[in-house]
Amino acid sequence: MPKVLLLIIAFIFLLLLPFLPSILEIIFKRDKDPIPIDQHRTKEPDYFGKSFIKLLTKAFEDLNIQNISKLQLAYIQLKLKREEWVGVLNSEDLLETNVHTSIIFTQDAVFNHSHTFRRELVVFGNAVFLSECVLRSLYVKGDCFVEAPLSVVRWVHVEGNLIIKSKADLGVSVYALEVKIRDRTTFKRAYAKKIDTSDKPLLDKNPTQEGRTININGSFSVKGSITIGDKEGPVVIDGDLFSDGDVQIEGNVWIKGNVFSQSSITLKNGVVIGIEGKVKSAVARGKIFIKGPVRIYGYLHSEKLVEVIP
Amino acid sequence: MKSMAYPQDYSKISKVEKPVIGYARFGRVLKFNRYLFLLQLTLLLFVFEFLVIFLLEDYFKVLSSITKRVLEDSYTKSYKFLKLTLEYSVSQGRLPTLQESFIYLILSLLSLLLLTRKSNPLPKYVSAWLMYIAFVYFVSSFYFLLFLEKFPYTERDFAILYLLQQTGVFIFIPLVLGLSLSVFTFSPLNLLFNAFTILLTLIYSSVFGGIRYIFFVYVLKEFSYIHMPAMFFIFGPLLDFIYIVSFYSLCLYMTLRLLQKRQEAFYQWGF
Amino acid sequence: MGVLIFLLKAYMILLMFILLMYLIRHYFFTLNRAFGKQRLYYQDVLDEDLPTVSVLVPMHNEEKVARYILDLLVEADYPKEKLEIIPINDHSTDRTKEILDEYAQKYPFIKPLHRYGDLPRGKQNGLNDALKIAKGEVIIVYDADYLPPKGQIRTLAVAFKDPQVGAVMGRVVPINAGKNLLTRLLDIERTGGYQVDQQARYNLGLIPQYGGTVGGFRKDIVIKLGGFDAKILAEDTELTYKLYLNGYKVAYANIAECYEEAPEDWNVRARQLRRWSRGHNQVMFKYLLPTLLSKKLSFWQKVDGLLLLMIYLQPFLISLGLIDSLILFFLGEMQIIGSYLFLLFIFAHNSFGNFAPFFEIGTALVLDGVKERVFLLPLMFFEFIFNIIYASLGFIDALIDLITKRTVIWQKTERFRNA
Repeated sequence: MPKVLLLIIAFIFLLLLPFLPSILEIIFKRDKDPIPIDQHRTKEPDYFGKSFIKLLTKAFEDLNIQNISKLQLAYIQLKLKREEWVGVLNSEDLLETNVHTSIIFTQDAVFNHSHTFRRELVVFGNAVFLSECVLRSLYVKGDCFVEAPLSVVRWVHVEGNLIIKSKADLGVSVYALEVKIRDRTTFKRAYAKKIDTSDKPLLDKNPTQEGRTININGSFSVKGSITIGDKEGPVVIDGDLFSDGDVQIEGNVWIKGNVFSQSSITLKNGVVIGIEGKVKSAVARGKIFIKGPVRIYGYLHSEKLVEVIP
Repeated sequence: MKSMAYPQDYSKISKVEKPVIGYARFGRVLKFNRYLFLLQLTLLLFVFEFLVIFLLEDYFKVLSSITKRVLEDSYTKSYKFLKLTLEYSVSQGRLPTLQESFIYLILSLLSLLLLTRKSNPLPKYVSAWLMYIAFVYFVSSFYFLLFLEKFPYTERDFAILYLLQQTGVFIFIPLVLGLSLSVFTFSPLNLLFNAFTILLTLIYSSVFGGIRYIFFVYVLKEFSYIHMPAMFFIFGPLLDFIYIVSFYSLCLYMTLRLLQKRQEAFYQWGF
Repeated sequence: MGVLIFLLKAYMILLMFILLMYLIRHYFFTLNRAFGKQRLYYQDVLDEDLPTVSVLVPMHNEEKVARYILDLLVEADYPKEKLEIIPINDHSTDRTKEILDEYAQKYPFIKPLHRYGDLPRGKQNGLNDALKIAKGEVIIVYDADYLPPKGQIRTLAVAFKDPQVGAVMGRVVPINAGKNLLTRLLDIERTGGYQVDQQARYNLGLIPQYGGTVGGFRKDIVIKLGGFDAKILAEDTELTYKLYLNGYKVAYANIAECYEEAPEDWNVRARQLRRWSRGHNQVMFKYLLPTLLSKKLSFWQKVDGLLLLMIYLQPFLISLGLIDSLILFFLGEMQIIGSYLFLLFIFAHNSFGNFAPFFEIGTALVLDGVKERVFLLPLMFFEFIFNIIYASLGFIDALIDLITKRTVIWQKTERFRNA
């Protein structure tokens, strides 16, 4: 009989044992919170730069510093995401090749020497890169001129215009008033009122080109790949284009709406996306390749890479 | 010319850093190592299935001898299954008396009536299970009340059915856990975790299955065949899935705790 | 007797086949979501020309939750000139009406629709009436217990820039996940259902389901297709099929996560499950044949569409399978090892998971990056019979609806939020 009793106890024990971790979790609720949802989340193309500069301004305010431009050369310990040392420069030149703190230029800055900035670089005036630089992130209050190879890991936020005349890798996110790309440039996303690769007037500014214009009204969605471009004359599409496959647009083509692809997008030699004064997007899961004179009013977004060869 | 480098910093690293962007949960996928996935599938499935088939005869032999020791009145037989000879010991069971069947019928009927009443205070998930148990017993007792002599099984049939069921569970464990756990290919350690999980599950299953068998044989001997349907439909393979899923969740936890040191080691961008 | 045994065995084989199909489908979904190329949603399309939107919030005695959702909708970053909010007050007898009028006075873009008197009750009826007054090109629907984040209307509405998109669906996350056993189980089930199931179906170009909340649809199409069937309780599933059968698709926005309040009481959950099952099965009766015969659907969309239609039929089939195997047992047919292994499959698939196997939920939990929550998986065992009973009852309700053509009465899910 004791054997049988033991048997019954063992059976019940083994039956209940697998529930033990579950029951402990129900009692102690170690992982009870719902997965966090950011209730304030909105889509902001200038998110990175804006939130960094917000942090910086707040940190200065906490130290009762109102006018950054009057700051003297100093190291300041600021509370950004965490407490960190930040170097402040006026118009002085920077000696180090490798810079390990965030650096703030209170006025215009010209980079004549090569530098590697391991933390953020902030310029409260205009910035001119005349020598090869590697940056983590860049904030420029004025205009930014890239005249030597530039490599950015995270983001670039330029309140004024961004003019790129040298090879540049601008990292994940670019924001500027206008972006002029005049040499091979790569990034993942870019937002500006106007992004162009040439000053040449394209279809949106020069509609009276030779040949008969093909006008298409309305948006369309295609399951496969699509190629748009007509050698006979310009094509104007007043609507959006959605595609599951590759999108190739070449020549005098003006798409006034968005271009969206689950694959790649190629824009070549004369393509215009969007309308001046409005924000439109070209979004691809794959690569976006831009070659020759092209203009985009708004936003470029690729999950892989945007490569621009003017 | 001024120096602005952090004075204490003498790092010689010239590169800034690799881009570190948190992979938001909406678009991330798991890091995938195709070779590790295939290796796991192959190893986990074949090695453990082989192990199961290889040890099956010995397992039932051991179970038979333990049964014999616990239930002294049991006798030993064997059953040919494919090319395997499965040994078992079983005590003689008995049919329920009319009185017993009647009592179980009334009890199960009453339980069903009480459980389906609106005033039933038990949580619905508990009631649902109790209703199911009561239903199985209602059918069983009803059958034995009317067709006692026609009951098609003896204790030997039960033992054979149990043997086959347990064999099914053993074969099923590497299959279901191998297929579901091979998905995790973050590190070669996954193979170790997954193999360990399957091994542990098989060991648990053999202990649990063995004890359950002896317990059932004892119940059939002492409390009659009226409980036999419950042994298959309530306390049968359904219960095996509790520990299978439990070990699966344990393996998930180990994977999450030990391998997820950095997000980048775990996820990648899915687009 | 021989014929009976044959039929019983044939049924078991059929059942095993159906369940095996589901099992394979879910394993495939799991692999696809875990490793496959994910289909891009439209959240990155920045466009100033957004469609006009009417946000509909069906409400019946929602005084406990009405203020929360209205406050959040007022905060939404969608251009106010393109937005209107229509809370549909459906025969409320509590303070819902007063609350809505108070908000309407404060915010001109909140335009409550009060439904009283002879107007038939029910979400589908309320939506039909609201469609008549809604000015938006796009309709976004939130149940009253939802807490939409600031940028979510834009995220959902932008999908309609794609002319093929007829409806869009976001991800539902229970905010009261940690409350009790039921909410914890519902939380992990939702995780599996959205993080893996819906996203995989979207990835594979199958049929992601519009879920009736945290989602939206094109107004003109729905009106053109005759609005919502007053006799069908699952207006969301019905719309999904209507759209696909007419050449449109549903976009799934995994990024559009929104908190909801999951039922905290098993009685409430039982009623909800029964209502869902009834509605879903009504849709099954109505759309099974059109789905099979459709020329707009691809082969795999048809397969997925049929399996999705039959999802709430499954528990009923399993309960028949249990009875079937009990009969076979007493007929002495248990020797057939095959029929026993069938049962193994049945249980493997269904014992752990509300129509989603445990490995699908487990993978979803890993994708979400949770920790101790994974230990809850074995507790889904407790839901097994519960789900079978109430989903089967829902199927029977739908069957009676089909035969008698009776009018259906909507039963609202009780709210638990403390004021």
